[in-house]
Amino acid sequence: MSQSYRFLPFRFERVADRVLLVNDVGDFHFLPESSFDALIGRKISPESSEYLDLKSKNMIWDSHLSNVIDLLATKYRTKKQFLYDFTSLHMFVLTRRCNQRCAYCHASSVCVEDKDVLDMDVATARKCVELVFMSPAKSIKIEFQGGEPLLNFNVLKSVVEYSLELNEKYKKNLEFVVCTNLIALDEDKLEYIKSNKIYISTSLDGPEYIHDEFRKNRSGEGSYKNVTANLALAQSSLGHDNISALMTVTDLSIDHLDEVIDEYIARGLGSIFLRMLNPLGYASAEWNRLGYSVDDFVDAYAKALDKIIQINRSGVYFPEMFTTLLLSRILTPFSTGFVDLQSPAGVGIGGVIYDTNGDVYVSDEARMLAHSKGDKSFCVGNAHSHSWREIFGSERLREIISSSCIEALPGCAWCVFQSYCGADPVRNYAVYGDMVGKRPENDFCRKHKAIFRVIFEYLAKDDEDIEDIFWSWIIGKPLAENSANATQM
Amino acid sequence: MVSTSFDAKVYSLEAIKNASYDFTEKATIVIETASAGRIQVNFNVPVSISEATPDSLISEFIRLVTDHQIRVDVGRDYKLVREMIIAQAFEPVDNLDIIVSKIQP
Ligand code: SF4
Ligand code: SF4
Repeated sequence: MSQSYRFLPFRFERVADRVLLVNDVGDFHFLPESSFDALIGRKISPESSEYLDLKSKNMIWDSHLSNVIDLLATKYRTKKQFLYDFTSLHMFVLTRRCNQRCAYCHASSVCVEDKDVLDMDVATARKCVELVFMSPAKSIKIEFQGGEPLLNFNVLKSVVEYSLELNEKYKKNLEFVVCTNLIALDEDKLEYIKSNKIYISTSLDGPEYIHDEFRKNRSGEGSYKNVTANLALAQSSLGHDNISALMTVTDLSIDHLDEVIDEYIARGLGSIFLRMLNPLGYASAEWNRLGYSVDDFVDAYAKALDKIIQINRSGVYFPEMFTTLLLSRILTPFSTGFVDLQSPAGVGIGGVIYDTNGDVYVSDEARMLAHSKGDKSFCVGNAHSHSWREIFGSERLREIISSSCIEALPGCAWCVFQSYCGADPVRNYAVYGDMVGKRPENDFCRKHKAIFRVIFEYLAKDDEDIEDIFWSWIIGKPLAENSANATQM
Repeated sequence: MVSTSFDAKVYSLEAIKNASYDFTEKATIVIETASAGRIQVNFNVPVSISEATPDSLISEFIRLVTDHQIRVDVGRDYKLVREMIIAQAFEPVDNLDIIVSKIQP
């Protein structure tokens, strides 16, 4: 019997032996192949539970179209809320110098004594801070990067102090983060970091033999002992919640992520971010020694995620942060701006990076491109010579953003994961010479597609324990606390 | 070189082109109009992946085209509604009821 229903915008693909349907606002539903055929042939009975599921998940409609459109429009606007938070992440490259010489350094850092490379000076830092506060975003995050930002601590302090001064007037929700290898941390700096509530993001690649293989100081000694000693110092002073770490997967660690996870838990780190190595900066020259394929990375990621889920099942709250970000997009209606993965891309409009001389780049990769290849295609101005409007209202930025709407890109336009994914026009340009790139052979796409599949294979299991764990990651609270709160309600 | 052809009354050029894009890694594809309302697709398969038999390659491509044809058909059905959702998300109108009253399930 033919039924009177019509389709709402959705995309589909086969995942875990079923057909996964995802609509424009990220609602998803799994159907057996036979039910999918019935859906497309308009043969699903309105009395069936499948019909009601499809209707409630906004894949079909049969009446009150204006209400359906209103509902989906509200959800769509909520999902794209990050667009209203125009440029909330502001990264400051305080120096290109570093006391380490990591084999894969994306920032192509230079040695501590290198006098040819200037640190950011106070005058430049103040100009950049003034640009930051021109942003209409209600929440502003200032992230200190390098090189090693603690090597230019006076300028870090001047940025913090001038920002706090300007914020008396602008009243933004202001946050500071310092991305540091911790080696130059001492009691005085720690005291300043503590009193100004600066969050620490650091790098620990795993146990000593893994970390020390590629993260060495300038004289060639591994930095593990120094980093872990200062990590303990910082944790005892700031509290464990104010420090997180990420690890870069290398050819050495890719088969030992279980040991890396154990190390993180032993060191009292409450989460992990498994980061794939990118062929940028020094890593590009060392790719034969350090690199691996996307398939190898995703295999290792899937095994690590399995172990992390087992750890959470045993009662230890320990999320993997990239998975958590994607789960928030998949399971909640909320907007999760993440400059590296959003549509339109976050470059320039979500985050921006100020180089030591005040040059403004749309992303860190854009700055790398300028330093490694002399290509300043993604430099949108300079804090000394351009106004906020000239930088952020520029034709160039518009052009970059309009080529990064995945809703209109070939491959992405029909991809089932589109509602959760994003584009990286700078990487496409660096690899393919154009900002659109080619999806089927693009590592960025292959990695994300494979990771989405891993996550949806878990969701397809309909395992309540796993779903509870995923929700605990999204909410940011251990399972026990969630259930205690639920009982109190 | 292997090839297959599709009935142009059943399969749209858009579905065949989109499937060809997805197939980029597996073969270089040339699409041409064949006789009597058929669209011909010629595959040039790189030696490195040529262990896939021509039959399996063509079957996989036909499955892709079929899925893309569903996307094209379903997309035609929801095109207007989708445009209205996005318009309503960023520039809401008061008289949506009247505007959509002509669209029937
Ligand atoms: S600590 Fe960071 S900036 Fe320094 S060499 Fe290592 S990766 Fe590069
Ligand atoms: S980048 Fe790849 S995974 Fe992401 S939406 Fe596009 S096609 Fe899908």
